[in-house]
Amino acid sequence: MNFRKLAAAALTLAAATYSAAAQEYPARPITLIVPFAAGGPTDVISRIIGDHMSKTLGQQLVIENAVGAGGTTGSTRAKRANPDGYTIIMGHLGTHAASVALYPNLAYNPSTDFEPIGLVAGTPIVILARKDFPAKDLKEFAAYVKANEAKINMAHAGVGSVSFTTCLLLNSIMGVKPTSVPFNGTGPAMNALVGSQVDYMCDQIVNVVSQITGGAIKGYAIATPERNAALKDVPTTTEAGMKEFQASAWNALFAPKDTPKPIVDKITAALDKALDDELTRKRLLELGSDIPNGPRRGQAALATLVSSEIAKWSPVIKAAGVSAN
Amino acid sequence: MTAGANPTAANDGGSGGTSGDFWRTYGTSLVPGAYSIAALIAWWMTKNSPGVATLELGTAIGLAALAIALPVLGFKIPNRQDYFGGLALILIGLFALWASRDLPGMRGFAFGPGTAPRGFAIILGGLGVLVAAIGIFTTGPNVERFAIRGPALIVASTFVFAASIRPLGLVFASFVSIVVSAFATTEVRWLETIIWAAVLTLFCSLLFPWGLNLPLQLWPNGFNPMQLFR
Amino acid sequence: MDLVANLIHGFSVALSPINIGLCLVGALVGTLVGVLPGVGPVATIAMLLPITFGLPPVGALIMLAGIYYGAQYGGSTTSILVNIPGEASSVVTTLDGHQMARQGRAGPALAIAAIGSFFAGCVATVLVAALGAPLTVLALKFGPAEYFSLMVLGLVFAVVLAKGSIPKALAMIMLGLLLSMVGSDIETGQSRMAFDVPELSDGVGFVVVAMGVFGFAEIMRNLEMSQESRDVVNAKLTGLMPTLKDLKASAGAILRGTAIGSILGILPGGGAVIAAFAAYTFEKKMSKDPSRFGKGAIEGVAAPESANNAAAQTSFIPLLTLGIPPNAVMALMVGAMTIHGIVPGPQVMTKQPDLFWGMIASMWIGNAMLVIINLPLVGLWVRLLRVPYRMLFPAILIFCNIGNYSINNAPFDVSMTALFALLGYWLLKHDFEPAPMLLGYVLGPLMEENLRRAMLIARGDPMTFVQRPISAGLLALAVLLLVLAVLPMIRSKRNVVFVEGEN
Repeated sequence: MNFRKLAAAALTLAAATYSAAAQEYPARPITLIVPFAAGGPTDVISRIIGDHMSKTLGQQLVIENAVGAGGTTGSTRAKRANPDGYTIIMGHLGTHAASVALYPNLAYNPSTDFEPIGLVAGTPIVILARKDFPAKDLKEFAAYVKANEAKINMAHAGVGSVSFTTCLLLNSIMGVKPTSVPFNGTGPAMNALVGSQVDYMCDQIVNVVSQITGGAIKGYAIATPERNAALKDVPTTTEAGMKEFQASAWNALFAPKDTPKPIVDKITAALDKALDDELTRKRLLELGSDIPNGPRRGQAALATLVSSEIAKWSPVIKAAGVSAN
Repeated sequence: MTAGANPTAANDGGSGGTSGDFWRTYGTSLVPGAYSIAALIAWWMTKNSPGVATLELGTAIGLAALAIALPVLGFKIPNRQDYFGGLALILIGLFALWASRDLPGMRGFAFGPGTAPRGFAIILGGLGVLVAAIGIFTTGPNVERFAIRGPALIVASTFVFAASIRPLGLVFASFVSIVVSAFATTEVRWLETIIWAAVLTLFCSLLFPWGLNLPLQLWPNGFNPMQLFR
Repeated sequence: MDLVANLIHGFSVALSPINIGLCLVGALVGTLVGVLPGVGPVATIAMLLPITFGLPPVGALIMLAGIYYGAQYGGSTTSILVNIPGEASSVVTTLDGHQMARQGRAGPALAIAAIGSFFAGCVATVLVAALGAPLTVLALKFGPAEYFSLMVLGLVFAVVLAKGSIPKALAMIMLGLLLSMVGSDIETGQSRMAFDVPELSDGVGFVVVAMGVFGFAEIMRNLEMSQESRDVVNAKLTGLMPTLKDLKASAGAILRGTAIGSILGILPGGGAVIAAFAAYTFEKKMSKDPSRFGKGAIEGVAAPESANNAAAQTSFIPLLTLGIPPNAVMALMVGAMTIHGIVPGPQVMTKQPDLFWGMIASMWIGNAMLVIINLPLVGLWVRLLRVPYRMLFPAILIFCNIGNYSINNAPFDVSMTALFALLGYWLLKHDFEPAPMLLGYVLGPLMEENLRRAMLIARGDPMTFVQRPISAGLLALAVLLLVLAVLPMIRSKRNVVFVEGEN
């Protein structure tokens, strides 16, 4: 047993001995690590949900953006934090699933190094193409990309980003390997797509609603089982005949391993309450988010989700032969 | 990169004082000699990229030739500022070349990750040669004396802040690092420093966490040595 | 005319007492965070987002926009007084601005920065209102090839703005380019020159480099000066406000800076960064006596400050018309809009006229407020310089360290800054200029990434850079400027050789 584990164990013991500590929790502000830049979809969701959870818990949830290496920097920091309930993290498809295959030297294991708190929200992925792309629906799109594979450019927001990972799955379903053009974030990638410099990309719904409704780009399908209120006219992948392509950039809260159970339960309860709150729901829905209902909530459901997502994305990433370091 | 630049800073610090004469006479050879050895080590550590290795070996030979030629010809460098500056650029270029030696280059029409760093490193080395040559063939100023106290204590105070902000919180980190930095000048006064550090600490503790709502912890929450380095 | 009616509508929204109040709060907070080195608008807007939940959307956005351009004003103060550029666009301001401060002319430098920014802000606001939609077309014409050529032009600016030896300036650009390569490769995600240090996996931050090489190194140099020589500088402090002569000298610079900034600001992905450099280079080339630049020429403050403020305003254009955020602050504004249920994009103008025109009007009001706030502050700032240096520099250091830490909450960044301070100190001793290095550092990734993108899209055909007209034009301009910069050097070198031959 190494020193860090020993220290963690000692702290857990201390937390258990002073059972009063758990009852009094939280006695001071809680740090919520957001492993992405302020203003991004994950950050906005964290702030909306944190705002309401602070009211329930009676202490401020202070957001700390710890950006770097596709969110793995912040997740590593969360893993190493004291398991006392005062540091939790907003995990994400990238940090707690795709990272396993993407980063061979990953400093944490998403399924064993964290206590799941609960799924917060999912942001559906939309298949997009430049406005003059010669295909009227998803079937034609797939056929056209396949037929013109050598000419086609796929844009993505950088290796390890959600737009990259999800488009890898799309490509493997379509059986194509087009030239992939990396951009530094979704903004520049979207700019290139609107300017018809590249042909297609995958992105989270939050970033694309206005461009699709304004006619600046085409949206072929949304990769969720149901249509989204923010983009009523865009069919689901199932409707469009590609039901294998299901992808959502989910966000979920985790606590470091060995955080006392009563404390985790308390946070889970606060999260549930926030997800039932009228105003919070409205805000999340305006972002195009998909809010989990009964069976998808809670700790056990999140643990299952993490292992199923790791199983889903790892082969796709390995098959594409990319790895980040 | 900084690490590559520092040895010269330390070396140049030797100009003046008792070792001055020795430095003045042999420094212009010792520095390229030392860099040449560094280049040899880089060459020895480069296993898989013959192109990079050749460049490293070439640099080593060139620098060694320079180190030997100067005392043999009895040539005194007229513009030491540019001469040492140029040599350090060569060293930095070499370091970058070595650091990016194993990155793949061009693959078909796609640039590899290594193309740009190696290209820039080679150009930087080339410009280093040019700047050093200007140092050899034109007249110019000597290198100014390097102070030790100021820079050392400023760096120390910054390190103190970095090491203590997480485990000890803002109050202790600010106070200690302000006191350390105050000693960077000989004008420092004990009592004034303590009072001023206390005032500044109070101001910072009010302004940043409270006024600007930044997520900074004021006090240590139960001493935890594990966080010292993260 | 439609525009006038819309603007009147906008002013009626922006002039409601609550919106004026929020605009003032935003401008004040922005000035404060802009002055504090490292803190910057991104962190502040992020922290204030939840507070805006309770506000009406128009008011919330007016306040956040106020923070953004307030920070621009405040950032120039720090650049001029303590030589710490808060962001890439204020690097140029340090060149002549801090020299002016060292000569006891901090007051006029600060004042002209405020006046130039105000003028630029006003003009650019009208531009946003009148030509927002048509100008967007220009932004869309810029693909990877055009951006690459623009970055090449930007690097040529770095050569021109150097005041000393051109080989040394070129070497500094290369050093900056190399520094910017540290981190993860954009295409493969491979780690480059990061030595398996996780904190380096996304490269070295701009604030880390700028604060170390400019600010900390400057403190190290000041500490070497004796107390007496520093007191001389303090005693020299003359007039707070620019003289008539200063104003005359700056008028043209402000106009040209505004024009350059307004155009370049529209380009997302680096346009605003280049604006200040372009404006400075242009002034230096226009000037009858270019040798004054870098030694405290007031045009060297007026032009880049006008340019970066104009660019800050026009960078709203891609956001408002396309819904695409061109920089981190704008990304936050998108976040703020979405939290309030507004989808940024072309529809905002028609669906939310209150918001669109209200915000535009508030930009003008905000700029006016900032001048009113900042001109009296000039006196205060200048008085701060009279605090004995032995007390002033620990305060600057601690503000830097806290601000730097607050960006990523990473102690590693703070330690790195100390190392860059040593590099900066070494550069000073060997008479290398740090500004070209910083420009190379900022433009490096943009240049490499766009080059690689362009080559990917053109399937490896380098002709793409000359076949596309905008790209070809930019490259031609770069070559022309480089020739203009190098020619006088070759000529003067020949003179030097000649003079030495006579001795």
